[in-house]
Amino acid sequence: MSYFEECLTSGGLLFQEERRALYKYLLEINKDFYVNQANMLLEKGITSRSIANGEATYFLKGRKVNYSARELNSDEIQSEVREIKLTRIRKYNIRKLEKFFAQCDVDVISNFPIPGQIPKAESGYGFNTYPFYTLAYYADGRNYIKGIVKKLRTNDNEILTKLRTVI
Amino acid sequence: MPREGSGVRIVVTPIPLASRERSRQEDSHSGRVRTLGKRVKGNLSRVQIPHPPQGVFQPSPMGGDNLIKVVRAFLYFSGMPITIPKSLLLVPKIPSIAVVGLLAAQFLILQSIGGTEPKCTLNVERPHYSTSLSENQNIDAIKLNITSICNVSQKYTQLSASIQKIKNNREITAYSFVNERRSSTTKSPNVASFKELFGPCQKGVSAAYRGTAQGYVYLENGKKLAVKGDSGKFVAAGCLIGAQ
Repeated sequence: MSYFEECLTSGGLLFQEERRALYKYLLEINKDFYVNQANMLLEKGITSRSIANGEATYFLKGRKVNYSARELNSDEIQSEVREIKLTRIRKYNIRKLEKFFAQCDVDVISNFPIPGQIPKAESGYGFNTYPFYTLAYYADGRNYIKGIVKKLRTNDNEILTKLRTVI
Repeated sequence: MPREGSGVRIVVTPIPLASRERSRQEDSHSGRVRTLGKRVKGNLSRVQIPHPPQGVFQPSPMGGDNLIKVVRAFLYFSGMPITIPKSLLLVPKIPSIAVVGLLAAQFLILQSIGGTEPKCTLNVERPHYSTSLSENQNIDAIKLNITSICNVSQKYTQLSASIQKIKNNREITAYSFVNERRSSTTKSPNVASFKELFGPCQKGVSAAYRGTAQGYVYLENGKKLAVKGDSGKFVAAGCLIGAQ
């Protein structure tokens, strides 16, 4: 089993650093898929995607995009979990949506991992409020200069290398 | 005073109260007197105003009552119907049983919705070595469990938490969790649990930890409550978290 497959089964047991590295990895390997998904969302106003044991559905309302998530074979839906605002520039919007999709995939993996040996803790839908692609995440929503410094000092190469290794 | 010119002289003479009482007993009727035919003749001397019904002019210490009686008497003599309207405020428009029912319903609604003041508490457990992670994934980690419990339904809780440790006699942050959010479940709408807060550690080296957390609980009714808590005193665990 590869490290990436382990992440899909670990879910909520992932460390913060692992989730952040997973975000970067998903953005890297799913680039084409995310671009197609973004185009579909901008044209049709809705798109969905399954990952691990969950499904995320994205909605475009005006210039805002949000997503709802649910566990596969479950009726309980977590609606309007995250939201981003789009601009008038399509190319920029697609780039923004790529990051958004990767972040949401990490949320879904963390909350609805592939069932395995590890028993799932009984808790509600959870995620880090500030997405990994924002400076607010590194700055804890406060001093953005400190956030830039912290972002530059963050090194996820070790975990990324593990994720890229396919056994 | 006699009037001249029309051929009819009408003299109005005031009658004292005592003689009114006497003449009322002599009268055969108590209402106005009208008879058919022309009764006025050339030299009629006086017209007597008949008596109002008994008790109309009885003296009263209250001036207001007397005024009403005077008005009543005037209306009586002028032939207008005596109808004094009741105050609208005194006329009940809603049955009293309905009023009682409405009050009871209001009381019940206030009790169920706004009667209880929303309160939330944060329960921060002491950080401990996670045996489940060690057994299942062969990972060494210090785990921090936090639960926010309210007396009303909550949407979610958003917290920033940290595992604090003692180093060189100083308290430092060993691992922090920035703005984590957990929603309540349909089974327990009043509770949000943070069960996946782990900090990687190196087993074999002991350190003393305590957990702290602060943030907000977002209630279903839209209110936001600040919550804060910690696990109390530092407790040793056999695994060292490297400082972040």
